[in-house]
Amino acid sequence: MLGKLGINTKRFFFSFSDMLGLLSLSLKQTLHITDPARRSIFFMMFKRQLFNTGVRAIGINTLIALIIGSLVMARLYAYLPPGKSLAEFYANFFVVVIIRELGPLISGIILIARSATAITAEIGHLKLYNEFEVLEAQKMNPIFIFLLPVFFAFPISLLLMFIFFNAVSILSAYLAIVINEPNLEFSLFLSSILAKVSLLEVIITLAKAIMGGTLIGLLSIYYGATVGNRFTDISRAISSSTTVQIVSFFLLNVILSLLAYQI
Amino acid sequence: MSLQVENFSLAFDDLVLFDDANFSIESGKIICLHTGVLDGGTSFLKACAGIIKFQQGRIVINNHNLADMNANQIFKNVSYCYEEGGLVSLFTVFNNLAMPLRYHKGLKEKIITDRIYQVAQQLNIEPLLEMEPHQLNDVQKRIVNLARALVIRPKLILADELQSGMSPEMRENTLNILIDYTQETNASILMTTTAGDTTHFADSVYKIENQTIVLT
Repeated sequence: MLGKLGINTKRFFFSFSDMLGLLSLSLKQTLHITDPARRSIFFMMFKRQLFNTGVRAIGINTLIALIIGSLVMARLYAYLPPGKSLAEFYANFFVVVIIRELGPLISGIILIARSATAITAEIGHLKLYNEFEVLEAQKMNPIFIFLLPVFFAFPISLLLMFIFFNAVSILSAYLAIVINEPNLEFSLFLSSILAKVSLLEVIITLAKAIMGGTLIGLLSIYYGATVGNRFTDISRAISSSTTVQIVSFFLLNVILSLLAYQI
Repeated sequence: MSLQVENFSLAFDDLVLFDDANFSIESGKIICLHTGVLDGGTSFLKACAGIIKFQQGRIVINNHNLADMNANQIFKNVSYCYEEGGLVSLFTVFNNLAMPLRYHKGLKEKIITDRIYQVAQQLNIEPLLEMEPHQLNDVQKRIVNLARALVIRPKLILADELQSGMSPEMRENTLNILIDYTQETNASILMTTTAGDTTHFADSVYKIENQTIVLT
């Protein structure tokens, strides 16, 4: 029992130091973006990544935001305290629940489910078929070609997904309110929400996107690179990576929220 | 481009492939290295290209020790053509050929495109350029590997079992292109061959025997 605990602790620290190493190698490769020739390769791969990660997620993001926005609004309407303006009541609720917690969590889960699994599979495939060696044979750095675009695209995509999710949720909530309060103007509704958004919300949202996106990207690449010579290693890597990503992303969100709003 | 391999030893765990082997190629020569099954031909070429590490010895390319050369110097001097695979599955054939040039040489896109189409025309692979690697058969993949080497224009081409599976016409055309290349650029070519491959075009033919490389 004690031995097992020791082995797992050792494994955790080895994995953690490997990931730190991967992060530092990627940061080192960032310097090569200043080279115009390599910059064109980077942007080619970055655009592909951003399109796959951010743009292609718009559909599912919209659908979930519409459902959450209208469902929450419909339920909340039943609990409106007497004499309270719905717009005012909703604005408070929206900032606390959607902007602070639900938006980042749901966007992160969408990113993990749609894109991070795909990246783990891609990296695993490249590893399984020795395609990293092919790049090394051409003296091209695989970290620059494949990993760096992920490091940049994931946080940016996550931030865009947060913003998009919030925008669609506001719109769907407004549509749900208008059914009961037809005279409510959208500008009034929007301004009452924006008035509740402080600088702290913006900073925490940015931190969740940058740290969360980087963490999810890093874990995808790390687990993809653990693939050995068997095809089943890829499915195992996806499974492990998804589990660790969900747990660590939730933890990160909870820690950041506690630090920002409780202390 | 000359290549000298001195006191070369290579082993994978208990499997010793080369033990104190010596070998050399002069500039402008085409050398064939006849190989059997699992006797280390591929590993020897990969070691000469700086892709795998060896336990002992020295590989000298144009009087420069391979171990002391940086990635850019190796890229400009040596190209390795894979017998199997050798292409990145996320890129089209065109991008597989263009990517190393963009990465290392920073050439203008028009120059890269012209260079690729010129080589593709010679090797009759123009229709393959917009395809993806999974759409190619093994022979086409080997030809694309060679095309990538030719667009890079290295001083030494290491071609691993290039002739395997080729039709007589395709083989004749490919070998003529390689002969022209060595004559125009004074580059050297080291090609592993196997049963059924032709070697009449080579300046010398070697074989792997008793963990060393000997002239046939």
